[in-house]
Amino acid sequence: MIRLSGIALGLLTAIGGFVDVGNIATASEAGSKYGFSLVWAIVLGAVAVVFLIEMVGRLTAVSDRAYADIVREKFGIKFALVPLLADMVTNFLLLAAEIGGAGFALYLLTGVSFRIWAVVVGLALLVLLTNARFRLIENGPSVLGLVTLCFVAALFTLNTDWTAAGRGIITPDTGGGGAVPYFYIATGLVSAVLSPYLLTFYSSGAHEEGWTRSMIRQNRIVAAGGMGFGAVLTIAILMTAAVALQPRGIEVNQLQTVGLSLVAAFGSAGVYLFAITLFVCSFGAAIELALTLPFEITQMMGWSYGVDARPVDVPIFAVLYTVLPIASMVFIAASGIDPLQLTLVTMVLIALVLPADVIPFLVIMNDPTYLQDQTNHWVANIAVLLITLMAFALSVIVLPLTFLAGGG
Amino acid sequence: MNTLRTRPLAPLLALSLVFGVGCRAQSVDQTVGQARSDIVASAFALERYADGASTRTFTQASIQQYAAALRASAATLRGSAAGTKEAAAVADARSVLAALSAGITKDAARSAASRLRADAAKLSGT
Repeated sequence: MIRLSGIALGLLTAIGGFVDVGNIATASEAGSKYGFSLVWAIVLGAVAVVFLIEMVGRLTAVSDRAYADIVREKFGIKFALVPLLADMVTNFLLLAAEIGGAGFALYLLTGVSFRIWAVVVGLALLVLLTNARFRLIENGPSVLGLVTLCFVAALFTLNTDWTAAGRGIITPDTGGGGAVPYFYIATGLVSAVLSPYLLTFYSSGAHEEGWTRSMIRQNRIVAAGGMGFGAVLTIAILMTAAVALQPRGIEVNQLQTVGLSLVAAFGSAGVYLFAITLFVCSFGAAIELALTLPFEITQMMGWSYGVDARPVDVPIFAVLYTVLPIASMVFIAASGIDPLQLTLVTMVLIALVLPADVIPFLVIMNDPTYLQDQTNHWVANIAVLLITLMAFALSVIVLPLTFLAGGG
Repeated sequence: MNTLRTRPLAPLLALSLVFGVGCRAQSVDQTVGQARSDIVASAFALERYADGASTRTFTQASIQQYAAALRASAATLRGSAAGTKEAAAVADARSVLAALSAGITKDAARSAASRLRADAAKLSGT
């Protein structure tokens, strides 16, 4: 029996929680520099993330175990350390970027330095993590994330030429700037949409909520519908930048420039819509990231965990979700690194470490020990493997060339 | 022995020199392109504010960010092979934005925007 309320909430949170500072930054940069011609990268990432989220939900529902827990059991702790270390680096950088993104939103509203706001955001994150129930943490910011729909509305306000958009989507164009920067942003877009940290977070959430086999169908609908619509929102962000900024010769090199696309569409209201969107999406993703690493570390090491458990019962988990936001907050506030640039570099690094996460996961998804009669269909295996390897190959080629050429 | 060792190195050195110069040239082009985009973006932000279609805080915050970015671009161009016309245009745009950092009025925003448009036009041919 499918619970309609569960599906509705799942869809809302999946759509609202899909967009983060990574999506906003990479999609806007892509649209402002290459018009509509990088939509294909979002579509590729979306196909992979729909498959991956469906898989990890199915795995948790059938095995009654969280994903990272199974990785340790299946491959042993020595092997599990490889994806764990890679995720530690990328998730830490991404968490810092999300805290910076939320701080930057408040800077645009108040004029007070984003580094000061980053400290406030980091502390707010800490208070929320130590006091709120998991359901609120998981669903609250995601539902608020629906404010991202303002980018869809902007496309109509800006009188988008849909025929030209359609032509642009099916005609890849490097814009005369060469293939390296084009594929650098394409790789970042695939990673931003794919967000591999979602594997651990989604699985841990499903496990905390006690999913069973009866959830498999609901999980399938939420994964396809929620992630699919989330990708549509990311495409809307790209297209808004393509319509509002590219014809004016404005490229997104800094976060406030993204706001100009909504200012072009809505005037002063666009400022508030952008700041709220950036804050909600960044803060929501920061909450997920601040919990993902503690989940992953404790599950891989076989230690106790649980957001709703008393800290004394899950001591290492509690220490980790306390220390991590503080460390990321200090990193972004002390360094003052531009959140957008940090995001873009992290996105390409994520593509670089993607196979370390995805390949062991696919091996597990084909093991009847954990999946019983619910192992993967070969189509899902091939689709995810191909997209992962393509993103990895692109990052291997593009990353060194980009740094040699003086950055992205 | 030494000759045998250095022979394969020569083409490699030549290649890396060509590649390095190519990358450096690309980097200067990137800097000019980025500076032009930042100047146009700041002009647009100021025009929207002058038209009452943006908030003062957002415009002020944006201007500060663009000014900082142009400071970095100007420093890069000073030590590069970019023409003096381009370097002067970026320096002028930076000074226009720096003058607004203390506070902006709608009239000042409008005149600053047109000066920035002129600076951007000087970079358009590069």
